[in-house]
Order: sequence, then structure tokens, then C-alpha cells
Amino acid sequence: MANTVTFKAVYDPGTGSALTEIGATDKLYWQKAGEFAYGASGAIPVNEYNGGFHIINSSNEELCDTAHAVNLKYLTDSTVSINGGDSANVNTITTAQCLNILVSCSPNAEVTAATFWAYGSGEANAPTGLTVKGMKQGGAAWATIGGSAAAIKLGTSASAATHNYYVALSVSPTSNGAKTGTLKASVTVV
Amino acid sequence: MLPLCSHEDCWQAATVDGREWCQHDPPLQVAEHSPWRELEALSKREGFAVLWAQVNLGGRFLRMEAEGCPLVCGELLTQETSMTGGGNVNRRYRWVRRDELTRRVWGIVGAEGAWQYETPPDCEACPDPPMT
Repeated sequence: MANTVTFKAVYDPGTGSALTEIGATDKLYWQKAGEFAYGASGAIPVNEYNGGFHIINSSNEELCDTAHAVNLKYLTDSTVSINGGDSANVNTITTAQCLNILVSCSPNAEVTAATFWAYGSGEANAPTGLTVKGMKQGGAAWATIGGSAAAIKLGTSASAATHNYYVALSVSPTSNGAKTGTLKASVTVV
Repeated sequence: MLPLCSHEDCWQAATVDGREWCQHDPPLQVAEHSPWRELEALSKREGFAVLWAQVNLGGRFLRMEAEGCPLVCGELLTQETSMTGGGNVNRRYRWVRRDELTRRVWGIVGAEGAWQYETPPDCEACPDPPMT
């Protein structure tokens, strides 16, 4: 069996809240606060951070309609609002509130390096008109993770069949209009 | 060069004692770690060195000579998800690396091609081949 990396998030697709794989055509969707609204009606105001986070399908329909994925909103480099709550230290963010990066190895293998970043027109470039904040769960501060040079290091992991990494994410548009970007995990195993 | 292993997705190696190895060889299958780490452990216990190693994937193969330096074989796994559409993309590569005193030389094979990179000697992260 080949080694693999998959992204997962905790939400309820109608069968109960669970860590659920982001399907091949699913998308991560950040919007302003309030009910799910795709497109302009859900647009995050310029220079503000996301008030809602949803998993949507290729038709832009909400998959997390029973229980949404947890929204993490950047406040300052060391604080976060979780699901609209008061300011909290980022070190209180739990694994269940993060994007899960699951590395599966068969046979067992060790992870010697793992990184995560967001990119736009090319892997070295930050998404245009979009600030992406990210941090490894348990970390002390958000970082701007646009472009491969700004990738966050997720650390190593001893030999095992599975390795779990958790990343908190928050986004802010710096200009009007739809934004494009890609999130990438890169994992080296031996 | 060894005949290509029947497993087209694997690494192969030869050691100075004349033995030939494949990732799928039963003596290398242990619970503690990967077959490559077991080959390293065996070579340490029995005092032999790896002469060269070859990675095979998707009909491509790339061999690297040890030239007196340690060799390592592994994989690079990437996962990408679009924030605005376009779906998810998985890529998987196999690499062989020569650990020289002043640099690391990486040979990488994947579905889209083969590449060679050099990194500083302390770099553990396999370089990402360019997207096509």
C-alpha cells in the first residue's frame, strides 16, 4: 500500500460530528460571520478576518450543514476568537479545531520533515490579495504562511503507521473580489 | 545494474558484500521501522556498506552511487487543496539521497519526471519538484 497524505476536519455532514476527510472535490470556505453564504453575500470585508468556516462541495453547497467546522479567527499574533468567542490565547486551540494532516505509512515509516503553506500563482508566491495566517496546533503565535519560503515547519515524527499534524488557519482579504489560493502540505518520509 | 524489481514501486540497492536488496525483501520487513532503516541497521550490525541505491516509480528509475558516502531512500508526499475550487491534488515521489560532507544530493522520481537537487548537509526535507 502506498504512503499517503490526507486533509481532514471535524464537522457534521449529517451523520454525526466526526473527523472527516476533505474529499477530492471538496473545498475549504472561509466567509464573514453569520449563516453560510457562498459568494459575494458571504464575503469577508477587506482587512478583516474570517467569521465563519465551512466545508463545501464542488457545487458550492455546504457539507457541514448539521454542525459547522470550527471557525478560528486571527485577532493578534498570539490571540484567536474561536467560533466567535472572546479573545483567547492561541495555545488554547485544540486539535479538533484544526485542519488535520494525516500521514499514513505502510509499512511503518518515520517523518523526517513536514511543512505547510499557502500559495497563489506559483508555490513561491503568496496568494494575491489574501493574507493567510497559520500555525501548528500548540504553537505560541500565528505566522503569515503565504509562499513556500514562509512555510511553517510541522516537525518530525518517529516510525509509525500514522502521523497526525494539526494546523490552525485564518484568512483576510486585502482587496475586493474573489480570491484564489492553494494550501499545500509536503512530507518527507524514510 | 540490477534487473528492475518486479515491484515497480520500490527501491533497490546493492551492498559491498555482493548482496542485492529490494524494499520488499522479507528480511527487511520489521515492525519497528521502514525497510530502508532496517537495511541501515543490518549494514551497521554486519559491517557492510551500501554501494548504490535505485528508486523506481511509475516506469521511471534513478540510481545513485554511494561514492563512499551514506545513502538514504525515502518518499516525498504532497497534498494540496484549493481554497476556491479545483479540487485536491495528491503527489507521491520516491527519492534517493547521498549525504556528502558539504551537501546532500537528491535524486527524485515521480509520475511527471525525474529531478536532481542539492541541499545543505543538514536539510531533511526533500525538495519539491516543480508542478507541471
